[in-house]
Amino acid sequence: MVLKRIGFLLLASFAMASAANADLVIDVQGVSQPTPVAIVPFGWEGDSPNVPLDVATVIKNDLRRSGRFAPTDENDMLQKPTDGVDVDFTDWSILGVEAVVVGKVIQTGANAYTLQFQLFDTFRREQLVGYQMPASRGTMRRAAHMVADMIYEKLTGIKGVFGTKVAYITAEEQPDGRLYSLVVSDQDGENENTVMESKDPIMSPAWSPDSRQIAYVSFEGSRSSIFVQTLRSGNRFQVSDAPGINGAPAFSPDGRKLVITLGGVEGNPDIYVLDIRTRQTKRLTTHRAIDTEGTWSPDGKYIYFTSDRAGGPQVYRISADGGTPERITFEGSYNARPRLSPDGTRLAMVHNDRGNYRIAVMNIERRDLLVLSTGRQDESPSFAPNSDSLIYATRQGGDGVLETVSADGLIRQKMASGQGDVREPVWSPFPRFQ
Amino acid sequence: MAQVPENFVPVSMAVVLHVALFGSMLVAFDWARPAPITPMAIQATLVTEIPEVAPPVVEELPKPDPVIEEPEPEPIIDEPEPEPDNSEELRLQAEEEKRIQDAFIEKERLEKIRKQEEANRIKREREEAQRKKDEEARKERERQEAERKRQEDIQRQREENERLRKELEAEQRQAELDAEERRFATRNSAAMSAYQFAIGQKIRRNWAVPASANSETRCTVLVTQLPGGDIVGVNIRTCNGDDAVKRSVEAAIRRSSPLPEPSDPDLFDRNLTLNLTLERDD
Repeated sequence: MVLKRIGFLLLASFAMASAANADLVIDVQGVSQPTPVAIVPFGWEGDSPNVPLDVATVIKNDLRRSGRFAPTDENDMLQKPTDGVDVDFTDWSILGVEAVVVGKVIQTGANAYTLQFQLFDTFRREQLVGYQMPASRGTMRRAAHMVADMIYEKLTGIKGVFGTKVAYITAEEQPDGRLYSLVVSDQDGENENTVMESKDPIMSPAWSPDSRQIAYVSFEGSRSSIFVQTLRSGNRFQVSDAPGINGAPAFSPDGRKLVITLGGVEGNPDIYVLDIRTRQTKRLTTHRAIDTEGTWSPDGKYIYFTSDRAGGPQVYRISADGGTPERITFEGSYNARPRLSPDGTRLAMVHNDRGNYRIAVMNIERRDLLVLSTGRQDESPSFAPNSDSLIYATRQGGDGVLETVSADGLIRQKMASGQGDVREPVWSPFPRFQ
Repeated sequence: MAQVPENFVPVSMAVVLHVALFGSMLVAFDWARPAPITPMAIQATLVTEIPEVAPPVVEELPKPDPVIEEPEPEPIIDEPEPEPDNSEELRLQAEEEKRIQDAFIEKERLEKIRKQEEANRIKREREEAQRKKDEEARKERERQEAERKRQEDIQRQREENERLRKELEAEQRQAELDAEERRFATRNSAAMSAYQFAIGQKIRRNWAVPASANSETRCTVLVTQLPGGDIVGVNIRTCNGDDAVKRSVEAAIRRSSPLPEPSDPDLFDRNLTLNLTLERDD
């Protein structure tokens, strides 16, 4: 009886204790989905009725294309303030909008403007970020991308890449034969600039870490050689024209060296490190199988490359100082064209997925492979500088087109760019402003 | 016989006087007492007072006793009879003697009656005193009995109250336990699962997980809701995510107001604890 009573009391006190804590426990397993935001059309204070750029639309497209945002339709907006003081948070929160962007373009000279914006959290009713920045007609678009980057970083917690660029190769059929071009554009496909064009194939573009130069392979003169070209000036210089194959350049993290593939006279491609200034090369691999497509790890310690020494192509890595290569990929019969994420945690590659060549990402620590693309002949994966998405080429109606995909594989976007056959996209590093 | 009324009257008067005296004293005390007595105590106090005063009166009674104890002139009667002398003289003498003797006898008889009456009176008075004493003792007993009963009643009432209080307490505790048990039971019911699921789903639908979140991300949020589901409090208890994650969590919950209502009002809970994690791919 006493025992029973004690048990009863224990049960009672337990029940009370549990009742005293917040009671109902609910587990929520979130999924990646777009954040509802509103980009209110920007105001315009200038001497002509024509605003130089629809800044809000540039920002809106950036955010929408990232797949992480669902911008509110302009027609659904209950108010269109251009200044933070006019924002009515209730109007936005009842729409379910989590954040509102307002701003305006103010003319300050003949070709001088101030771009002003503010980002508000509609539920906490507070400003998350707000800036004014000078711009000209020529830099307005870039400034708009910068605004989008700041909004993106505030709301997603990772750096935006709207201000970055993409380099790629196009091949266009012309009456007198194919024309190859090395093109650099904004990451949204706008602002295309042809860096170099040739009747002979151009291949394997690679960005320098400061994003001012691009290395590439050119077949001009019917033999392969490697060039480094400065984007702003257009000046270029040849860094390698060894006998046989000169291919697959990639910059070291400090920008002083290139890892390249040289075939030599006997035609057995191996991995070499080339000092750009002295033009001296150091051979890293000596296997009689094909070793190619080298790339540096972000910490500069390793060089990852493709080798078929075990039969089919697989990814290996070797110390940047040389040594014994170590096999990295084991899943599937074909893993090639390795590229590391800038944060060094993941390895992107072309993976044979049941007969289809697709883009896959492997977590280097856990060694688990995630297939990101859905095409039949996808190629050339390249990480965005924030490591959060990749760009690659896929086939569409016989031509190559570009696609981006989030590193978790959930968001895939086509990129409208280039004429003809578009291949070998490479994402630039973050721009450096000095 | 002429002496009888003469003797009888003073005796009677003495008796009447005594009775009147005692009576007046009793009555006087009766009158004097009621004033200070509080109504509640009337019965008990009044009865208590009388014996305190009355005994001295009773004690006075023994005073007349010495009268009763006086030596009786009886030996006179036991004197030897005189022997007759001559007829006339003797007759006269005898007559005289007889007359004297008769007178003496008569006196003696009267004296006897008087003494008898005196004795009766004293006896009556004694009896009366005893009766009063008994009466008072009885009343005292009754008073004590009443007091005892009163105390008993009070005690019983106390015990009864205590018992009722305990019963009530036990009932309340049982009710609380029952309610808790019921909540416990309902909490494990299908309806409860449905309620939890509905809330979880709504928040999940509204949670735009930011890119910075990963499989390690875990946030515990205390949410206060009103009946009807309107959210009045969002308090992030712990969250290992960055500012973007915290903002997204708060926005998701705010966007989900009002929360779904339960099918059974018993299931409603003002305080919710939300554990937010990312859905696992595998």
